[in-house]
Amino acid sequence: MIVLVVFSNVNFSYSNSKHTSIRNINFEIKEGEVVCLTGLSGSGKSTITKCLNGLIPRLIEGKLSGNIFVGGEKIREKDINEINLLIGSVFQDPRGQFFTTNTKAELAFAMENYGYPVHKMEYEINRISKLIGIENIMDQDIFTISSGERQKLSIACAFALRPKILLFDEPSSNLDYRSTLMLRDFIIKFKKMGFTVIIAEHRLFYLSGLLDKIIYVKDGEIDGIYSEVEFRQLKNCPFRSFSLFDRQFENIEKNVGDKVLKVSGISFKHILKEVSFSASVGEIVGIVGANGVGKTTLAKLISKIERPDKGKIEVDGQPVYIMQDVDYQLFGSSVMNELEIANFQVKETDIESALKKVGLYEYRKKHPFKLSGGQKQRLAISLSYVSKSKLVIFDEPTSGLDILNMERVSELIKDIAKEKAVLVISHDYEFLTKVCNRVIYLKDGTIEKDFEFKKNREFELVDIFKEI
Amino acid sequence: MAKYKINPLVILLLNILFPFALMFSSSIEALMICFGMAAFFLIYFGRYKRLLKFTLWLGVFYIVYLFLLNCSGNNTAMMAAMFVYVFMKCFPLMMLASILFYDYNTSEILSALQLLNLNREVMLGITVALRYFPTFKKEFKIMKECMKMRGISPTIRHPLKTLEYFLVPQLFRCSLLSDELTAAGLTKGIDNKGKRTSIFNVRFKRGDVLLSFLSLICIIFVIVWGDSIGSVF
Repeated sequence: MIVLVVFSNVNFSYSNSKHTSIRNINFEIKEGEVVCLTGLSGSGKSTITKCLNGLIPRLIEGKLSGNIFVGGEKIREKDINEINLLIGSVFQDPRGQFFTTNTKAELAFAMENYGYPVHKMEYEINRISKLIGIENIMDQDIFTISSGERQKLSIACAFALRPKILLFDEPSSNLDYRSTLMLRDFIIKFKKMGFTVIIAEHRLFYLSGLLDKIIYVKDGEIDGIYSEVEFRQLKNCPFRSFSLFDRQFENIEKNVGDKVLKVSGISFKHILKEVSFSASVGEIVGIVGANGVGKTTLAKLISKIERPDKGKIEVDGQPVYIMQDVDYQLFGSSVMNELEIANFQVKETDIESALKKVGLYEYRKKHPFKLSGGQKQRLAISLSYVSKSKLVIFDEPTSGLDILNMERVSELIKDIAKEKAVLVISHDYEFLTKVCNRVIYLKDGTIEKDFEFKKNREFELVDIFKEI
Repeated sequence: MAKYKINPLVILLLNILFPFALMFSSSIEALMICFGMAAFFLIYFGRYKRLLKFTLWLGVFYIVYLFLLNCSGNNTAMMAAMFVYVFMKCFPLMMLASILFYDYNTSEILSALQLLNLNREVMLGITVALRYFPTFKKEFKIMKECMKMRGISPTIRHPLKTLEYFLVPQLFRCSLLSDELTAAGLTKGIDNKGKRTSIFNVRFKRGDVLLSFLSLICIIFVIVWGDSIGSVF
């Protein structure tokens, strides 16, 4: 096989940083290989992808040294517009990568920029939409399609200029279980078609059995390059599990206290029908179900953002609701100030102890938006420590988190549950098994199953995931 | 036969001409003619509900305006009346703008602007701005919900604080979004040299020429005779 991509002694440091972000990066990727760049958040795997698709140094300034070859040619001597013809990129968050508001217009966008004649664009749109299976959403408003469909569209867009290499940056972080499996099917398909696929990712289960090479990045350097079999045998590498359903429940102890939430027969629009359950202090209830089944709606009803059409929700005060996208929830001018806002009774010592618990005390003077993704998440979590409410709701708390951050969040949730009841909406099997002691499965707007997590009952959750 | 799609440039042209017309003639009749023209386009695009909303609101403002005028001798009321009237003049503009935002997609507008041979950077600026409005609307709703949950309710008593809670996160999100969008744009060849084409066959057709001509006549009519129509009828 021909060697397609070569990194030779590549170093990069961001212009506003003293540290070198990546050092001595050397690797080769052959044509037709499926390669995963993995490592913790901030390890530099994203930086490597940006060096490859030319965003470094074209958009992100800094000091780049060493050589990168694609198809035998030096990338640095090429304009980004030439690189685009070789590499198609799919980014982490599809929300930020669409230029138009119409699916067909979006698919045509890159071709328009390259001056394709209309008949050629029509041909390509037809070909690509068949290949990816998005004929049914052509010529629709991008805001009205589901998140899985949006991800499909962004994959389709990467194909528009007929590249040889497909580059994915954490493509699964906003996807539910079913959409993640769909991503796996795509990668299998692209591999068969002879594409070279490079994926920067820390969730690995959906890539199991597909990878020709795993490049493990640690603190900006390549720690090792392994085959999938070799990588699975590594002992001291923190990474997400390859085989999702091998995990066992941890039998999290449960000292059930006072009942703090009682939901009786609530209905909302056509989404929820007659949902009833209650939750008590000490319970960590996982709420699972397919996309669009009404998990977030339920959380919004309980947090009093929406009102149910029918039924009653009994809860004291304003529950703490930590959304998937915590960016929306931070309003403070500093980390410390964030916990003071609209909470006049809170004592400074309480704020300090909350920040220490989530490991943000040393950042207390920083602006919340200057924190990393994991840190912002923990800041939002710290709100529940200073709140008087006995109920905390988490909506997809692990999307985009690496294993260490996920474990940290799990520990915090268990700590919170000592004094409060916790509801966790999640489609992350690994995380659910680590943190929950009860699961509610929503299906077709009603509660299909409600059961406790006990050892040897893992199959019940596995069955639910397979059904979703 | 498929419905004739009006070139967005016609609407853009009219939206540029309206302020001129309404600057030169301040009669309510002139405003009504402009409102009628904007209403014609809304009806053409089948946006009856939106037209009804605009009409009702204009009616409400007109009543407020008449009420304020009747408080004669009160300077504050007169000032307020003037302010309301200026706002009423914006209605035809808002109606046409709503068509540009909701009934054309950004790609079509971009291709239409290409007919003007505008500089690429200017066009990109316009595209991103158009793309941002629907996003902003969604973000605004989510932020309002979040503020409510955190117990930070927007109040008139603390306008600065409210503005700070709204604006600062919004600015940060803006900069994040623009970074993401620029990166995506570059990988899609947004600054590729050479002629850009368009999947939408946006041309300035005979119908568009005719519509622009008719609009222009109406506008000239409003500018020249707008103030005297009232006295004629």
